[in-house]
Amino acid sequence: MSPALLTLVQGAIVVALAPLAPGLVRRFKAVLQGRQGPPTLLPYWTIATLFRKETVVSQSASWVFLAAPTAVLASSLLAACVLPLVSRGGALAPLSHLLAVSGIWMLGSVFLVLGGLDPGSAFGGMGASREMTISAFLEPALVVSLAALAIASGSPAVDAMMDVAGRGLLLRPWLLPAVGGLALVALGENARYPVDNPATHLELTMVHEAMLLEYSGPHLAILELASAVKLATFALLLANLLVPAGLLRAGAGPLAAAAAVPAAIAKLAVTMGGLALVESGMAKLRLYRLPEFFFGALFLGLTSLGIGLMAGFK
Amino acid sequence: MTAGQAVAAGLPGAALLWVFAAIAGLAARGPRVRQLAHALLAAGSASGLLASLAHQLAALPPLKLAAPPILFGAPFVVDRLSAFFLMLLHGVSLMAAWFGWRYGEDEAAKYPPRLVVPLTAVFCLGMHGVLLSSGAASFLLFWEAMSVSSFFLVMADGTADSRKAALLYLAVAQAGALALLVGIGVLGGGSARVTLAALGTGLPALPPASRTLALGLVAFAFTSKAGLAPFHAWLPEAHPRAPSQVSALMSGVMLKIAVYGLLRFTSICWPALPDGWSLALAALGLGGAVVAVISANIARDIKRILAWSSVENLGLVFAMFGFSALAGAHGHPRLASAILGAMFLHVFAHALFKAGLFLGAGAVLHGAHTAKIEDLGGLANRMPRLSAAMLALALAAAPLPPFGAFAAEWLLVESLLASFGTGELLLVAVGAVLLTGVAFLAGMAVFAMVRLFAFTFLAEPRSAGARLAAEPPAPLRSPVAVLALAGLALGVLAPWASPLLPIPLTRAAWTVSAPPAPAAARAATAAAPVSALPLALAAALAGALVCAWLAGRLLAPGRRVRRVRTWDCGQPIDATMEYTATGFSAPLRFFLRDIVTAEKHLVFSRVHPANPWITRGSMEFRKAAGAVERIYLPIAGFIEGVGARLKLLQNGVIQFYVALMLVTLMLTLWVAL
Repeated sequence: MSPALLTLVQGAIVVALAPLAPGLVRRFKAVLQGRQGPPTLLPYWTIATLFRKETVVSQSASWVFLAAPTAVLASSLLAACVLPLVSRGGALAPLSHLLAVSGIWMLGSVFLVLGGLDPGSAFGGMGASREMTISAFLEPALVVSLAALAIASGSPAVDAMMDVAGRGLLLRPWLLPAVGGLALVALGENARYPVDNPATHLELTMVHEAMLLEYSGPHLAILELASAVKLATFALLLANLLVPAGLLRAGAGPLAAAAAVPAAIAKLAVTMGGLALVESGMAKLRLYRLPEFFFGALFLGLTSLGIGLMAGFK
Repeated sequence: MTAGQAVAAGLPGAALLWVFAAIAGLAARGPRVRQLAHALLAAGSASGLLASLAHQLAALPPLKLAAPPILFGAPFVVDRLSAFFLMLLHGVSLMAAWFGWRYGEDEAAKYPPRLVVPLTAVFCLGMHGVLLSSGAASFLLFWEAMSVSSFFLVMADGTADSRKAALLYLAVAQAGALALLVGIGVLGGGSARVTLAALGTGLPALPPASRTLALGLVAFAFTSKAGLAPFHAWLPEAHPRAPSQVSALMSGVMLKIAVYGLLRFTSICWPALPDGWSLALAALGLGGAVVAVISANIARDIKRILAWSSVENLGLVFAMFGFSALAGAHGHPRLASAILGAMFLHVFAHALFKAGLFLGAGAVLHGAHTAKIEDLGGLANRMPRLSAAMLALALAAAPLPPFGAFAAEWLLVESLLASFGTGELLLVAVGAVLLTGVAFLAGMAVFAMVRLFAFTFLAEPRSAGARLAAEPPAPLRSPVAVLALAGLALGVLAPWASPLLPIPLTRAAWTVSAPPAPAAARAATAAAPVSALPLALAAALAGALVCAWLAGRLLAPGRRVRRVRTWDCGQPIDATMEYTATGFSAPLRFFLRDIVTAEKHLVFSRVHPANPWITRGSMEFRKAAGAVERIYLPIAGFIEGVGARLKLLQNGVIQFYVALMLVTLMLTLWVAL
């Protein structure tokens, strides 16, 4: 398999599996909370149904509102193609540079925020204000955590960080706080507990949902898909940092590609199980307590970076 | 015509055309002659732009221009450094002249054109002269022309607030000019006819105290002009006051002229800047940038937000310069030049997007008659073309891919990671602090730019002015679009921008597998060609956008769109219920409340003197004391106090005056003999 094909295959697998991620976490949460819960594959049906519905657009909204879902999905898709999720060494792997990755995700957040503000609803404004704050404060934590991994792997590309993943983490235990910092960033970036409550429709607590409130039909389907892809991307990235097994390489045959799908599903299931545990085990933080979360994430990254620099990167 | 002839003709030609523009602007009584003046301004800029581009692209050696008047003592010289800044000056002034051609006429009642047009020409001429001067006297002369003309431009609208801001600006600018005069005096041994290049030769002979004094004075002169904290307080007051095309020149170019001055003087006098000074520059730059970017998130006037963003960007430039000097002084020349290259790319990108944003703010002001962000909104429906250009510029300023400032940040982060491979504690520690700081600044700048764009252009208009606004005419819109496209081109083609920059862009490669011994560390920061990643990222982003768009088109073929009111819970909503820009940044203000301290004043007065229970209350809420209250006002108070004491000398007793004259004569004789 050529590197270009590898990237395309990875993108296709991640997008195809993405709606499974929110489905799995809802299912696990229901089990943990003693409920029956919705079917695991419900997000697929939700997205398919939304694509068939008519589009309702606010009279206040401008072209930015209409363009935002496409830009958000593009950001999620690109991140899903460049990062080492199902494969390594794809054609776009050099673009997994830590600054490029943070820029790609930030572009998605920016357009989500602009789309939330455009209809002029106070709910959208509230969600947008909170989302922008979360993204802005998590940016240094993301960059510093990835920089700690970069000095260990010797390359700023996340793709190369797979060299120090798994067993490499045990050899360099000082990297573990950085992985923890990334996990906190993942919770914040994906609007999960303890930063946001993905199940709420209570306006005072919602962040992500508030921005989507005015979107309907295909626009909403695109945004739901984009957020599912982002969740799956973060989940697979964290899983691969801990267990970098089963990653496709250039030259792999179609059989290996077929085997990569169950591996990815298993990783998604385990990460989503962990997420369900986190979400069932703790309450959402008050908005005003969030700085502790942000600076906690940054501090974890800085701890790894500091120890790594003192140890001469061994 | 060879490139050399083009430069020799184009640069003096630009100055000459600008002189004519100033004369035409002064003489103009009607719009016809004023438009001729603007055409002359634009022609001068075009001539200078072509000449400086020819100089850079043909990689010419330093060129002496036509023989200067006797007054200046030293020839005018253009080299790679000054040609780079000339390119920024002429590029931005071309756009400003294009914009001002229409804006100046439409806003003639607010900004008297007989004042603005000639002063703009003199202002540009001053910056042009500073960049070309090789003699200290002409450098100072043009520096003053630049300062004084921009002082008058700041108060062009004649309001009391503008006059106050202009006077603050004048005070700082004149203190800086005085410091520069004394600094050059110390360095040049008191001669006014010394060339800049000769300033460095006498330096080893100077006593260390004089050397430090001269360094401090020169550094103060340039950093105060460029708005480095804590000398920045004038900048967000003065820059927004000028007409928008002048604001674009001040923020986009004049700040860079100060950076040019610092680069020129340090390269001549202090090729190896002492560590303390490099560290101070880096620390003040980063610290000032953090304060400025937070202020940009609090400001409520779009031009003021842009001015704070300029303080932030220039702070980042100084941090890069300081770190580059530090790396150079510690024997890592390749790392130093890689960071310096990133700095020049950032300066370039900032000139483009900041000029574009200020011109766009002028177009908004022209259409909506207000720059208060709380009174704007809804302009994306009313000015779709301008809003598209402004969105691109806001993303460029954020800095986000695929724009120029992001490419500069990319190179900077690569260099900071490379500095970790040097194995020198100082470089590693400063690099780690800068990496964290740059990431924090990036997040906050995104916040500020999203706030600027969203609350100007999105949702429902919050005032009658914004509601009645329409798409600005093409001469106001086009320069903004051109600058947005230029910023995009710079971002996409950044790896090939080296021919335009004073030094080629390089990448400090880093290998960190081996424990870095001092000798191995030198090898570790080998120069490597800049990767084509910005282009690849831009292409990948474009590809992803096309895929996402196609997905939307193919999966939702029906595409019925129904327009209804925003969901309103059954109670019609209007613009007063929208989130405001102040509300948008409320979580940020709360989270950073240790930095953004506010003072709350509660005043209660009794309604009836005998009844203590019924009171009338008022609350005042303002940002706590900043640099103005803590630094500027005490200094002003001290000078006023000294002045009051000196008044004692003027007591009207003639015998006392005669005695003073006698004492002065004796002192003079004693000093002279």
